[in-house]
Amino acid sequence: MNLVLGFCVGLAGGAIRSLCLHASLSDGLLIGAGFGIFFALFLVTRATSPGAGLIWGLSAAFLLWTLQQTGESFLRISAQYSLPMLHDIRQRFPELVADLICLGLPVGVLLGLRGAGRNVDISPPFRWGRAVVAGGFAGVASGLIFGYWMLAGDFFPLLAGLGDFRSQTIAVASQFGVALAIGATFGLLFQRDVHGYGSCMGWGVGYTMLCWFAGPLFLFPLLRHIPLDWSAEHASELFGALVGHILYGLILGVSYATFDRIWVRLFIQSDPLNRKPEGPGLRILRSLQWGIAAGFMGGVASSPVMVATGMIPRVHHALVEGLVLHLLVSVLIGMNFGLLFRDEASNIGVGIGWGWLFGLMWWYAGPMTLLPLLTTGEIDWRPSAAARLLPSAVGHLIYGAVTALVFLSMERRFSSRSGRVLRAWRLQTNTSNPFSPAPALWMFVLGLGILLPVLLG
Amino acid sequence: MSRILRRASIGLVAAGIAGVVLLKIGPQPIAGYAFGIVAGIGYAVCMPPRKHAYVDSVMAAGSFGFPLWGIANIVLFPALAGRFMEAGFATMQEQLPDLFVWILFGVFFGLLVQLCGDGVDAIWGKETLENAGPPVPSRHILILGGGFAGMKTAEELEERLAGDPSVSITLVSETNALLFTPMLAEVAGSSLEPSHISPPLRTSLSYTHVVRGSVTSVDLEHRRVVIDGIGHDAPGDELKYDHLVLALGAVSNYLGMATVEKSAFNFKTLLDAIRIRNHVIEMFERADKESDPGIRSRLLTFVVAGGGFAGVELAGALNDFAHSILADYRNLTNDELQIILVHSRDRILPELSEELARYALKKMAERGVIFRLNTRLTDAGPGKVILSDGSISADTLIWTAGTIPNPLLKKLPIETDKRGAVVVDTTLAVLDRPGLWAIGDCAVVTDARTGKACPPTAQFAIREAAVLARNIHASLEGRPVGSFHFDSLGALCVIGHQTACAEITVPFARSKSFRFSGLLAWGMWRGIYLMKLPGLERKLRVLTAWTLELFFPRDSVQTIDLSER
Repeated sequence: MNLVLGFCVGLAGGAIRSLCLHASLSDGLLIGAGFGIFFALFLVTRATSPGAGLIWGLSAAFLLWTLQQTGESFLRISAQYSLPMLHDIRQRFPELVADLICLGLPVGVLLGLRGAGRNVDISPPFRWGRAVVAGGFAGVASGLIFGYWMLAGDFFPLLAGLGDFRSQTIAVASQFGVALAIGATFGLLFQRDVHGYGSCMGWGVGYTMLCWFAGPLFLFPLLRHIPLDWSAEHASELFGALVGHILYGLILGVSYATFDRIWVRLFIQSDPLNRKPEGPGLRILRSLQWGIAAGFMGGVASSPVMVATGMIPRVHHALVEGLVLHLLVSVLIGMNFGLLFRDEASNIGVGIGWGWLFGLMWWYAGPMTLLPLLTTGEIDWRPSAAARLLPSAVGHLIYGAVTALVFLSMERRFSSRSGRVLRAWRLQTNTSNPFSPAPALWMFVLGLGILLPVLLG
Repeated sequence: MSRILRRASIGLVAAGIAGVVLLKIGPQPIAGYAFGIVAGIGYAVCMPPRKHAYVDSVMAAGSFGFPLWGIANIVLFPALAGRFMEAGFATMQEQLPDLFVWILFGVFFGLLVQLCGDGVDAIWGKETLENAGPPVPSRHILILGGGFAGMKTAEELEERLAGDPSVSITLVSETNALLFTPMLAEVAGSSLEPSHISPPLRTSLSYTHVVRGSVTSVDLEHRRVVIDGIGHDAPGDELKYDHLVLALGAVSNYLGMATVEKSAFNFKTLLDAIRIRNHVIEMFERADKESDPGIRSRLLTFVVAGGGFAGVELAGALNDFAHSILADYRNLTNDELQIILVHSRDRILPELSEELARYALKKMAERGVIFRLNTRLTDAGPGKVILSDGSISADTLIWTAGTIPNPLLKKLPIETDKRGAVVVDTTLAVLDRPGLWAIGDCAVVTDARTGKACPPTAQFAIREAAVLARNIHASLEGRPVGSFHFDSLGALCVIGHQTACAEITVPFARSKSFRFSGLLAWGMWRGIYLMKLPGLERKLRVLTAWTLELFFPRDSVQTIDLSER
């Protein structure tokens, strides 16, 4: 049945893909049917919920697109690569959009829906009200972060591609409408996958990245009855909206986890029957303490790259002052990591996976957004700004990995010392659990998070 | 084969094969191949294997290709070529094609590492923690006593041994919680709830095995301790040890006065404080309906024997409590209430300087406490306390006038002083008894630097415990042990509402001290002891209670039936 469903959805997606790309229908049908069958054969066991199915579908589509580039290039060019290939890849950007929108999304969600029905007995119960209300609240609350620019009337990141509005009131209302829709659908898709703040932040970013493809590049032009333009040049124009979507996803994820878990904290975890050896207060303090040490080590490890890429002199001309400031900020971000990622990883490999993702997210939130905002009062999300700052993303990745490594080591040391078992999240995470979409999420978010600035910059 | 070596070998093989991609189409084949192998081994070691998880492995390893590209092509390779500082966006765009090479490598590696892992599992069996079996502790540390000395020793040992499965730590305590004695008077005075000053041992200690019970015998020859069993006829439990820590503390010393022991309240445990508080309320209830002035006076007279820290703090707390609840008893007046402190010397608080002792006496007297100095308590009976210079009609006598080390210690074949405290050397080891240690109130500890005996206070017990844990750890590892030295930081004593005395030793000039009194000293007392109170939760509870006390009167609800006394 999965095979038939995958085949049919893939086939339909392939047809739409051909239509959007103005490509050969037979090629589209072949690619779509192949993708659907591939998903149904190899990935369907991972699609245990619509959210998990969506992430697996998107990451599979993205991975196949990247392998296609390498394979073809490998066959064609053999050993020498240079800018022409970058040009080739930019030329293939519409196919990436088409693969994600027409293949990964529908195949993943539909087979995920079927998977959710199949696993209804072993999955946590799904509550529509909770998903929509928590997601809606989180969406609106997250939408407020753009309030300053919205009120200034010149920036509506979630509405990029929708054209000009007749009045600012309509624009603000539309912005919140889109935020509400994203938040509510996020809750519907990912309710069963939400366990901790850090991982939920990852789901949020992954989902809003997809929204950037699905909204400004697909739905909004359709609503305006204008032809679809999936070229890399057009995507470059929408790059600011991509950063906005990523930041929105960050806050959406954390807000959703907060809204969703607040009743769990207040009414379930406070129940003596569910008592943990370590109370919430002590848990927060310990997370902060480990986060300080981990963040400091991450700061030390990343500082050579930050110096090399000009990030530290950019903040302060004096190197020593810059390093001190860098370490101070590293410690603060490490505390943030401690609060978000406590008990998220069951082993060091998984911890490093989340660490990469955390480091990349902070590149978008830090140098791309907060740093210019604090130093100049304005943000610059143009591709040129991203291009200038992109080398420091490597430093952020190193920072994330080292911070995660140190944090997890301390967490494990405490766990082994006290004989206490980490929370149930270890069962949900990566390799210890056959149903975890964490590796797929890393592929999708890390991949696009790194690739898009290079490609569109 | 160890788990790490097994995983590393799998990673090496998988990365070695998958690295062909890097060799063939990578821009820096050798360096890329070497880096790929290192990364592959690291990945395999860090990611525990799971059977047939091919898509997970492919996706996870493939996703790691993105950061690996950044580290290798943007940082490592330029650094090897001496162009580390030239990293820029142009470099990244130039290197973009290699990104896809690294992803391809990651995907191949993910597939191969899973394949190799499954193959190794099929040939040599699964890698499981269960194969090794749970480690059995081969060395046992037994701590007798759950006071400051015992609990701190366990805490320090946990920190030092860091979960070493070959060593077990067991703590035997008569109660299942640590009693924070500096705040005990506040419980008797209804300022704090009893559980607020008693952090549970099981919560505070992470992996120490806590046993609630009383020690009935210690067999030093066969290295075993017997604790009382459950029920009267049940045989006692036997605990074996390699290292035994005697931290049994002290008990009240009634100087052989059996009648005093029978009729006086003790003031050593949490239950004692609860009983005293409830007894005071009971006396007020009875006095309120009593018409005979003589009986009322007897009911409302509270005698505290002993003018040391415990006696003075208790007298101050009871004085505040009694006056606080007096307003609820309309038939009673202030004049009928008497808090009397009896002390055999000419001044109270011998632990503090004479100046502060005088201040304490004056302040407490102003607040209504009556002092009988140079007076000895000789006997007591129902409704009467006999003193060396007369008698007092009182239904309440509380004994704080002396302590002796736990009597069990006198039964052991080890050297003790005339009070019954165990004599230890400067390393806190009992003489001629390897593996036997003693600290706290039950030991005679000599400072290694000054040669003077250390006072039996919590301040010293905690420091002794830290040194002892270090010495036990050193003994386990065959390292030399260290000696104990500690200079007192000072002393603090609260004497009544927002009034205290404090004597803080001047750093690096130990013979000198700063003296504080009044509100400032009271603030210091509360701040310091709040910090010392173990556990954040307890701190918050105490802080809340102290804050509420500023706005609401003390609670006068009776909570226990006093007939059991």
